Amino acid sequence: MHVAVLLCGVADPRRPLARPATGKWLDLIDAPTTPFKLSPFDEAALEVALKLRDRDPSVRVTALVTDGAGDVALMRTVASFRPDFVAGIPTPADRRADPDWLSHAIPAALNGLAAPPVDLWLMGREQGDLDDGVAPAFIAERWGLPFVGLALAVQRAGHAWQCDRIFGNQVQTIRVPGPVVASVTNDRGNRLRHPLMKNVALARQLKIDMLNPGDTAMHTPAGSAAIGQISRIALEPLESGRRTKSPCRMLEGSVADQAQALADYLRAGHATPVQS
Amino acid sequence: MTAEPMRFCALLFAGDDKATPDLTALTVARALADQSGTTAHALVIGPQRAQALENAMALGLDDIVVCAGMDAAEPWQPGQILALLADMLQASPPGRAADPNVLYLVSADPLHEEVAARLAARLGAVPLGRVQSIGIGASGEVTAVRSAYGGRLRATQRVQTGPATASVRAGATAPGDNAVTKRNPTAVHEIAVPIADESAFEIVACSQAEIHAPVDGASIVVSGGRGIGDPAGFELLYDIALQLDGAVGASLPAVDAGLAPVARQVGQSGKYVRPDIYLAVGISGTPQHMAGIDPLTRVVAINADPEAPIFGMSRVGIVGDWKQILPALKRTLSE
Repeated sequence: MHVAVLLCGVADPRRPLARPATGKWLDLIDAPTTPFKLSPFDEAALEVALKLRDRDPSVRVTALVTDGAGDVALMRTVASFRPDFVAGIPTPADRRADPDWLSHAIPAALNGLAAPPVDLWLMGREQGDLDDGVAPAFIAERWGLPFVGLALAVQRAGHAWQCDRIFGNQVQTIRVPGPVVASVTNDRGNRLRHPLMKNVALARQLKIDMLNPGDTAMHTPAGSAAIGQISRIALEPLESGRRTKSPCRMLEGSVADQAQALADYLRAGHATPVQS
Repeated sequence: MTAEPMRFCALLFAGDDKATPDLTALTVARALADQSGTTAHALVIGPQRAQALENAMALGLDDIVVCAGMDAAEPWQPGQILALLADMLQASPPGRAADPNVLYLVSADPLHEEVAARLAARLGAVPLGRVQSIGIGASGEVTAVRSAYGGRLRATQRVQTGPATASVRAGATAPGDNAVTKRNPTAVHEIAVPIADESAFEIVACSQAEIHAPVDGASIVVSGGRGIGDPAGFELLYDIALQLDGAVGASLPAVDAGLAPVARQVGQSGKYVRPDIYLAVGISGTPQHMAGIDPLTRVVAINADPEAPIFGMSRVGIVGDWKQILPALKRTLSE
């Protein structure tokens, strides 16, 4: 069984973003000053894959990294979880945030590797910093595969996959014939484990492969958005503005005083909604 | 050559889990059509379609296609909705289906967003994603703005021609929105398209996620973050939310820690909420989290760290330990 995890690094959320030397925010992905991390959703997707291998050691796990593939620390982090194969697929500057490109680039990049067909594709519910959840569903549809969104857990059920997922206000367990694309969301049950120290050390010595999708990925097949029609993204910083014009009114005094003042504010504010 | 201006079509699944379907997509379709001088349409399906149709007609859409006679599916799955909408696009009134120059709009919730993403793949459309604001630019192009990089950057996308898709959340603005007072009556077309059973997954088990009030639409949200770090703290939040007739939210780290289900996650990667008051307890105020709270919402913060950024974004704050403040607040509210 072959499980492929599509990972997409995010700029470290705990560090301020620095404008790239080119002056273009879109070049953040290539900016050497921006450390990349796995998003909580990608971590969850990776953990789901590792759990499947825990249950069945014959499971082959492939980890492919797009955004942040040039960040050695990120790639070593991924490698430290000992996927059977780990590689980067660098995204061209003009195809970022483009699930159409991804849908062609991933099969093209894998083409030529002597790997068995993928039975399960796992992705975080968002693909990196520029996606808000479009990419996994889009790619699945392009590939003509069943799609399960917001999965919490995935396990094998005969020739099918059994997925726990959030659906509206329900938690559903569904059975889907494979191969399947599943986007994974964060949950207590899929928090990424810590890698073993020996594997961290091994990952430092590992040579990370970079896969080149080649020109085929730039080709626009029938059914794809025409190149000239694809929108280009312009990025600019959001003003880290205050939400209020006046400074925060701090409630002082004893705990009882603070609680009383807060209760009064909540009751009064609740009764006088903000005018939009 | 100047491209023809796009038309706008809202896709609405009016499910039975909401008393009032989210009509944002229809409102935005109407506003964009008015700005660009074109037409606004809607495809409506689902058990609550009658009510949705009534509301949509009040918005003055040019025409609405309603799918009739398909109440069998339960619960509806995204694949079924996608298949049905795709069939409806094919079966729409003459001349409509053949025109690809359309921006399809859906409301920003997981079900509609999945449908829109998959429809974009089917149609070869540009997926604009979950936009915060959308309007018509100087050259007639659709300009969509959304959040990126965890709420730290703003991404602007422009498309001149369709097909394209976008999800719009409640409160999405349409700059330059002009009220049009006189329109032709809405043309309503009822068509019957069978549900494609093969697009549904086998449901092995299904359970209600929670018994507590949903965070969507709550007028007050009591939200907990990593700073709570204790299930007992969230129990207090649920009690206080109940006292205030509100709902409980959570930050991503709190969900990660298993303190709250993902359905309550507020932030760029979770729910977007527009309550009157957002009581943030043990939440530092990262851009990722604040991106999920409407700018007009009044934020009230309780945090042990006086330097927490949340205080810079709050109307009212308390520096203190939630283990002392929350029980006292609960007692006070019950008096």
